[in-house]
Amino acid sequence: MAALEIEHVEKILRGGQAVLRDVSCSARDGELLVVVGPSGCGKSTLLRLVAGLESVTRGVIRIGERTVNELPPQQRDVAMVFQNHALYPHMTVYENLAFGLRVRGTPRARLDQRVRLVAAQLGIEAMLKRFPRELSGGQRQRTALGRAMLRNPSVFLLDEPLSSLDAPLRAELRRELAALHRSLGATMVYVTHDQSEALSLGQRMVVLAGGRVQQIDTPAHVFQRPANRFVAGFVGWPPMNFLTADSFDDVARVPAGQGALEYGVRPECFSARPGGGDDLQLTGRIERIESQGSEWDLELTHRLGRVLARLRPERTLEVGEQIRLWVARGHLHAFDLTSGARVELKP
Amino acid sequence: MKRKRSTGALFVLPALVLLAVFVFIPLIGVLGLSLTDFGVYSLADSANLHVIGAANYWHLLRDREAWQALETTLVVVVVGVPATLFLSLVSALMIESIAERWRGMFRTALFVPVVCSTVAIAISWRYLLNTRFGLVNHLLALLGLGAPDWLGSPHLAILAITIVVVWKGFGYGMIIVSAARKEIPDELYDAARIEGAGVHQRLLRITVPMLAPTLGLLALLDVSGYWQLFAEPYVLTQGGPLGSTTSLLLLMYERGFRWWRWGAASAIAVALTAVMWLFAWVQRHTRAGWRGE
Repeated sequence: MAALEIEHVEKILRGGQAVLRDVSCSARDGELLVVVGPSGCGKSTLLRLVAGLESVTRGVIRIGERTVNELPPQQRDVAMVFQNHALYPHMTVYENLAFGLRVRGTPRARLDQRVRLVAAQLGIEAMLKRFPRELSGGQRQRTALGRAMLRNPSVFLLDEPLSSLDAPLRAELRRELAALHRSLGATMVYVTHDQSEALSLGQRMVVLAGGRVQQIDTPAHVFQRPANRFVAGFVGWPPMNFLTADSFDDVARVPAGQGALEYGVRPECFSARPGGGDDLQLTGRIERIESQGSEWDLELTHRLGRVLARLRPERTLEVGEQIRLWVARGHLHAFDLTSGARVELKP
Repeated sequence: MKRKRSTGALFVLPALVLLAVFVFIPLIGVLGLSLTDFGVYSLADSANLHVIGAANYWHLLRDREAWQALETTLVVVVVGVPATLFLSLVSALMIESIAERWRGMFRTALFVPVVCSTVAIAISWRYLLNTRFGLVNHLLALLGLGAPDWLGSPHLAILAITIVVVWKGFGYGMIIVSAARKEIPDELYDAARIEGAGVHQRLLRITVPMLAPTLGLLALLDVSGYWQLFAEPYVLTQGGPLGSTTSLLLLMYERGFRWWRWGAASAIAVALTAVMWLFAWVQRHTRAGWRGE
């Protein structure tokens, strides 16, 4: 096991297009670091740079004490799980698992022992003689994971490993993966475009967009104090409402000298009952009601635009009805209108 | 439903008629002829036509020329098919590694023999292989090697025929292998690199086994093609010297259209077909393991 450090890494393609710009982040020894971002943000490229499948234009990548910039993939002591598993279709599960040790000339007895141990850990012992096409999605994913585990690498790189599975299986494997991470104590970098996966899985998360790091923090902090408007809108579902409302400025206690603001309120932070005297008020007409079971999603038109609120209403609501909602001042996020950076409101 | 069935039959009919006229009826005809002594004398007087049963086949079994033709044909198949597959594979992989803008040129150059007329190619090679004036011997002389009589000595003639056949054939396989190679996902190579497989291991453990179904198909096509070897020896050597390049098909042609012994020629045709069927059957039942997805 080893720590992974990425310092000021840039990746510029031959055509001059910058995929990653000045990206710095690190995964501590044994940490599960999640890199999350919309598609095309450069997260997969980052993983390929760490794996050595592509070379960095500038910057340093260190695994443990070693700078690995110039090392080929096989000398970096990393393992990677690919989005589409990348299992060798002409080999059985056993051969797939054994591939890495076999090409490195590991003695047969030791190889066999390792393969059976890892297969048992993942619950795929019964599948060893099957070909990948004879496996279910979950079994394929476990095989791909097993292949990565077999060599006991310093760093695991997981590139959207669950995105090809259906939702219930994804949740199940996500829990398994978290448990596996704890039992292996391995350093893992997990790339995903799914912010809920990032929130539930990571010890820390890196939010990446447009090839730049937007925020690095624990999931709780990223959710509660998003560093900028992008992160605020990307993390959390349903997404945050953004309002440009001068009328909030008084209540919000904007710091002196601050320019125009944009306010953000998460849908679940609305309340149908007034709390304290500090609450913001918002009146709107109900355009659409959608039941989520115990909660209701209301789409309101407000004079400042459309707002989505998730409530637990105490009475029946009708479309077309005017409704008044309150937001506790502490739930208000504020962002600079021009730069998008988070603005801390006075307590 | 009944109406639908008859409509369906109507659509199939043209193809069936063509197949019947050009395949089924001739096939049955040949099978029938092979049991007779049908020849030029029977044309003059049908009294000279006798049904002789399997006699043509018994003769074939004791016919030294037939055995030699079988040997010649087998040599071309056994040497030529692996050589063709090897060249198809190597050229397909090599073309991938050259700069993109030159790729088309090389691919075309290697594919041209496939689409050229066999007779034209055979004639060109006859000039190239000419003992005194041929380019091949000229190049060999530059290297300080002797000037072999390519088409004049029995052992070299069969080698020359095989070379021409392989040279004409491997470009087709190259295109097929190229296409199959592009179907192998890059991720597999990425995964293999991370796991420590070098260039050779990636080739032997991923590329070749992933191409195996394609190579198997090409082998079947090549075997059936080379088994019907005819035009190259017909033009290059007329089956000589000493009958060393007379393939089974060429022997059949000579029996049938040179000596007018159609009964005997039909027996060769039937035997050729039977062996081909046997081969296809064996091929079908031995393709174990991975069959592609």
